[in-house]
Amino acid sequence: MKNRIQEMRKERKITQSELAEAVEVTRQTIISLENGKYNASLMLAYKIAQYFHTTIEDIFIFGEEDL
Amino acid sequence: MVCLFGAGTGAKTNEEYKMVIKRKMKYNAFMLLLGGITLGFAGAACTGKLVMLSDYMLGVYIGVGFGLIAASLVNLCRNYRILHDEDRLKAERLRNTDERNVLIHSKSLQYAGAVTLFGAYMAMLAAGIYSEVAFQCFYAVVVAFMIFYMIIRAILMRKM
Repeated sequence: MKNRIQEMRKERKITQSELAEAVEVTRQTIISLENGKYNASLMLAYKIAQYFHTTIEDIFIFGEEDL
Repeated sequence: MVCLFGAGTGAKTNEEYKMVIKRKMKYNAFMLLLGGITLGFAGAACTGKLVMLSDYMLGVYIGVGFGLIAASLVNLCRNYRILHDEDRLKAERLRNTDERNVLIHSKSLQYAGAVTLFGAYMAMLAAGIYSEVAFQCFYAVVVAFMIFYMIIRAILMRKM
């Protein structure tokens, strides 16, 4: 599953640490999410979407292979 | 047990995590006691009044006893410092409740369990050639693993 976390974070000039602290995970988790090595849980996806004031679908892109 | 391994608590605030740390400190105290008992047992074996142990086994008991005591004291000090430092407490809480860390922790346990089961089974087969006692020991490990797996699975099936 692809995501736009890095893109949205850079648009808003937010560091990985700031995002990590806001959604209560470690910075390593944000790095893994951005690299596509780890898929967020529904709870974390919701927190990230709330942080960016958007919807989960706007950040996390479901492809055919994810279904 | 999860608390012992240090990941997977559901604490959402520092106050909740303080309770987790206090619980961990109780485990540490129990391990300290266990170390003391092990050393006491080794001490009793030294006198030859309670049991007789070979030099090798005596060394093992003394080593394990001191190891448990040292590890418990280190963890007790570490947890005490975390408990009295809000920044450390928050960092530790995030590290322990981080969902990626929790997933890594449970997958590690899952793989370690599978490797242990496979290893015990292979050792059981090999031990059967040389010693029936060794065979039965590994057989017991394999059977115990399967029984615990089924019990824990049944409990989780009801809970989740």
